[in-house]
Amino acid sequence: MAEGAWLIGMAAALAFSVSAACAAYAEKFIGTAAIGAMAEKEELFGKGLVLTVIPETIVIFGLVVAILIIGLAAA
Amino acid sequence: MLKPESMSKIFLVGPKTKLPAVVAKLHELKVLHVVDHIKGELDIGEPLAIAEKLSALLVEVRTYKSHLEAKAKKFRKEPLNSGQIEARLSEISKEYREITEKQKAIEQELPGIGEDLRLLGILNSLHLDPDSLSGFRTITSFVGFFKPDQKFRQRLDAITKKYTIHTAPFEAREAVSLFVEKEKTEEVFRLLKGYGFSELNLQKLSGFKGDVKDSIKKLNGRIEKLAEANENLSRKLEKLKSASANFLLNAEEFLATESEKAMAPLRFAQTKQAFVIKGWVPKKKLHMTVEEIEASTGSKVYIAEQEIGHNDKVPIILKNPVLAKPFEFFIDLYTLPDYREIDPTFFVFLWFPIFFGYMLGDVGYGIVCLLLFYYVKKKMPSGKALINAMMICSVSTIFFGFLFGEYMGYEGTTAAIGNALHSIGIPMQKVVAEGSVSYLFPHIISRVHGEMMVAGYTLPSVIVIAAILGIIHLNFGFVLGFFNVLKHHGLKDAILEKFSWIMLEISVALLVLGSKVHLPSKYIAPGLAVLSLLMIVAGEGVKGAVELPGLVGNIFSYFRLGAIGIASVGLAVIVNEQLAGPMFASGNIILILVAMVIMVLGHAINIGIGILGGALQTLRLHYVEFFSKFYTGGGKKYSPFGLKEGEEA
Repeated sequence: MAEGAWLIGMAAALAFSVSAACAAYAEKFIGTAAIGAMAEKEELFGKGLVLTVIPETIVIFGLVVAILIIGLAAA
Repeated sequence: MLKPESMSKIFLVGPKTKLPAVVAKLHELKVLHVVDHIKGELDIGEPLAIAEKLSALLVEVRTYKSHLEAKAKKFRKEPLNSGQIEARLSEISKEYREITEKQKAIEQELPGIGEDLRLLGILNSLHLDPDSLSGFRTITSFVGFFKPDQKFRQRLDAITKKYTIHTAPFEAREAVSLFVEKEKTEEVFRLLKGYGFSELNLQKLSGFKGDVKDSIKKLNGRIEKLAEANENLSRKLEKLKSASANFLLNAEEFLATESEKAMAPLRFAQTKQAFVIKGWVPKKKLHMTVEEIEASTGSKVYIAEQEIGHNDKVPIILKNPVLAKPFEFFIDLYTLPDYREIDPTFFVFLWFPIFFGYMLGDVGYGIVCLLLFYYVKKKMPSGKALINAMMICSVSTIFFGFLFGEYMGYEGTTAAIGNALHSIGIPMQKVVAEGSVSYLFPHIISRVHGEMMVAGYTLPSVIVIAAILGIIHLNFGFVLGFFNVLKHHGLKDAILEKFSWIMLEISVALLVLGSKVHLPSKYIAPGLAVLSLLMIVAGEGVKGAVELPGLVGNIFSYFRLGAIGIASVGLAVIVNEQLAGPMFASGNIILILVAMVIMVLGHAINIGIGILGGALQTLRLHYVEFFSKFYTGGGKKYSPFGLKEGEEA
């Protein structure tokens, strides 16, 4: 790893942060709706939580890609 | 364990005359989950005759409860009956009305006195007595506010010479009294109007005779007396409040219970002469219930058990061993299992602490969490289930802390401490880097430095292990799903819908490993894959095919176990080594104090994030990834007639 290292670092950071931002953006809408539903019917907390966290997997994909990018750099 | 409590579906039929006795007994037993009757061939029952009276009393008790601010959480229980309540309530209401009426009278009198006092004050400043202003034949008096200037006097002089004028400052204004001869009244009045004169209404003071100072004194005396009376009344009210609080709370509870009983027939079916009650009783309490009801009605009520129908919504009581019991909370939070499916509580109990501990994994953090939850449990007995579950998770955190060799974020220690620990038999690992010696705590996996090679990639070991845990967890879910489907739809469906997925995973694993495993034929792995795909489509249709990529996502989802763990230890290391470490090393006493504050705050924040994140992520892995493999839920909670809110069945 020499002079290109920072580029690889940036690539990994972008992969992770952009996917995290996107997941947050998606969760915003679901979370709002889930809270709305909960206000009507409190038992919906469990279901609301499940629906809200579904986009979170996007972050994990971002993480995987970031790890792979760093792995590429090591190779 | 694994199955909800067995329930019996029963119905009770009896003559209406026995209804009050049956209702009272059922309310006392708290075992029957009543199925509300829907009007069909049979009518809905009518409330007991006493219901109306009870409701009216309840409304009154609640009114006084709010007037008299009776809201103690705990109260002394007293035996009561509605007659007593009525009598005592009328006493209370009489006393309350007396007090409030007097208070109201005082409140109404006070503003009037204030007004009079003000007027008298003005007269006093002008040195006039209230009865010296009227009763003249040739003089008119004006008393009020305005600012007479030099010009006013000239103009007044022009109208008449027969006048006296006095001014005195009052409340930052000029109070004026002016006496003029009666004949010029109108002219003077016009003049005054031009000067913005506002006349005082002294009619109100007609009742006051004699010296103005005496009148003021008299009124002040009256105010004092009223204030004293008011204070007495307030004290009386306080006394009434404290004397009646216990009674009101008791009465409310009694009446609420009684009116619940009186209204209960609305949930039953009736004919002209008889009533029918349908409901559910835990199987083990059936015998006792029948005996008790027969004893209290002289066997005049017929009780029979019915077979549970396929579409019956059976109320659910979860049944689990003591240690797993707290985890019922998470099932309740999501949705209770259907009566006929596996209750996953026990599996949540097995997996939840592992995942949580794997993420937080630090001996120090585990101990802090344990103490914290112990403290919270003492303070908030209502959240007992959740706290107990979290305490089990804390123990698991300590266990994983030993596994990872992490103690408040420290993975190792200095040469001196390390040597000392080594000499008392702790297998410290000596590290020599750039000539300096340090020691690492004994560990099996290092979360920060541990790495593994997978298919040519270097990955953090915790993430690889997380994925392996995930694969086990998911397949555990598939196996449970297999048994659920087996029970409901038979072996063929179970294999097609659930076993096919496990087969698919095996075939994919074989394909990935490729040359490393020696199979009799190179067609086995691809063949198995195609077969399992066909089975999935046959079992679940197009939906199954659509879900295929989801499986990869599911497994990736478990990466979070490792990722959050690394983030947690990363934050701890930053607090210890980047922020506090250099300050400790500086030897400056102020910097060392600052470093201590940073340590406490930093770790407190990290533990807070760790608990919240750890619990939520673990919950998510269960709800989304694990449960989707086998769990339907939708069960209705068992809530027997007579059970109060917040009471355990």
